Amino acid sequence: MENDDDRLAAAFRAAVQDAPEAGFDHEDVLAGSRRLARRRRTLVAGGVAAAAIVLAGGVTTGVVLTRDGGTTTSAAAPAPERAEQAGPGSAADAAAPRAAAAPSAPRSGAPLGPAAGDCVNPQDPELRALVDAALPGLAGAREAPTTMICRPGGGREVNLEVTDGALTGLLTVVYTPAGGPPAQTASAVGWVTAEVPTASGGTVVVTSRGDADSGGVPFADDVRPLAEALGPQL
Amino acid sequence: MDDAAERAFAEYFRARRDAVRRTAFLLCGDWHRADDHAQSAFVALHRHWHRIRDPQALDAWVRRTLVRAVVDESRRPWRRERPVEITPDRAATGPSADGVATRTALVEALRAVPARQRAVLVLRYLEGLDVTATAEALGCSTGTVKSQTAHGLAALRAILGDTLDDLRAAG
Repeated sequence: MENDDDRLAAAFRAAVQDAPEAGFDHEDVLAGSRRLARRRRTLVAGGVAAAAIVLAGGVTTGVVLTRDGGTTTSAAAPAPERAEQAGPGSAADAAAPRAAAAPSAPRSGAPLGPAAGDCVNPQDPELRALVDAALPGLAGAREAPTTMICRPGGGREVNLEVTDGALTGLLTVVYTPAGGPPAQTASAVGWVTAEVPTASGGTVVVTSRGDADSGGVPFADDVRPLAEALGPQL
Repeated sequence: MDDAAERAFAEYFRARRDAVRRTAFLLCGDWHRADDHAQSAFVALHRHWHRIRDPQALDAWVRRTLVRAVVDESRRPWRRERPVEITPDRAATGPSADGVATRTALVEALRAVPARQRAVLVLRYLEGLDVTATAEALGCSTGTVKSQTAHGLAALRAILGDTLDDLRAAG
């Protein structure tokens, strides 16, 4: 005997029984997929170029301002550089132009290189800027919770909770400077990882893994291009 | 994708296109938008095809993509939906109304139900999912599905009045 739910289900099915002819076919889907793939490749390539321009512009601005006044700190200058400048009237004034060329400050055409500080920042803002520029789909991604264990060595990390269509997961980018301890190289089934040597002699490892209920790995096709895009920048 | 994967996708597409379109239609209430949403879901599926570890999970993957897209769209400023206070025109939907008018009334009424509640009703009554599968598709708890089902049916009843019982009787 039918109950109310059965009857309601039948009513729902009846409501869609007069479907018009479909407005798309298999070829349309394939064309759409190819179009998205092209767009994503273009974004990755364009993002890296934009990141290089932004970094170069920021450093150039910092150099110009410090040369003009000798005491001005540019907001566009990288944070480690600002930290090295003690302020007006200090001995750091004279060293300001030299500070603009400090090892941790990216120069036009130069890699970002190792970070300053004793412990690796698990959410390194300079690396995050490069990642966002290289793959704009990550720009709004939330920072993932990380442990506070101090990992020395001047490395950089970004750990993000990412969403890629219906797929969700964790995407990590780990830069290890030359001579540093190896970054995570272990990989589980379902993880997608790419490791690329960097311009400064280190390595960058990009890993994406899906959440347990994700059904797949987010940005899996972008892991390798992202690592290859970041390599020359680090 | 390699040839075997392309063939498998094509087969899946042929088998599931119309079902996905029907679900999309009841979720958004418009066949043109339903086609757009369904096509986008299949495009996303094609791009992620080789990454979906469990072939048995394809339906759930497409369903989740589709529902998320429709619900997200309903929240966008230019297409934000609002539950209506005014009952849709039901001039031809009395106990003696013909089937087409009755079906139209149901579609119109669904459009007036809040998007999440509508999604729960469509997944449960059109797709035939149980509470657990519906919760997985929507990324929420089973308790939420139960409460959204109750609220959704209450909203339908408020809009359709006796016509809901007619639908149940005539279904």
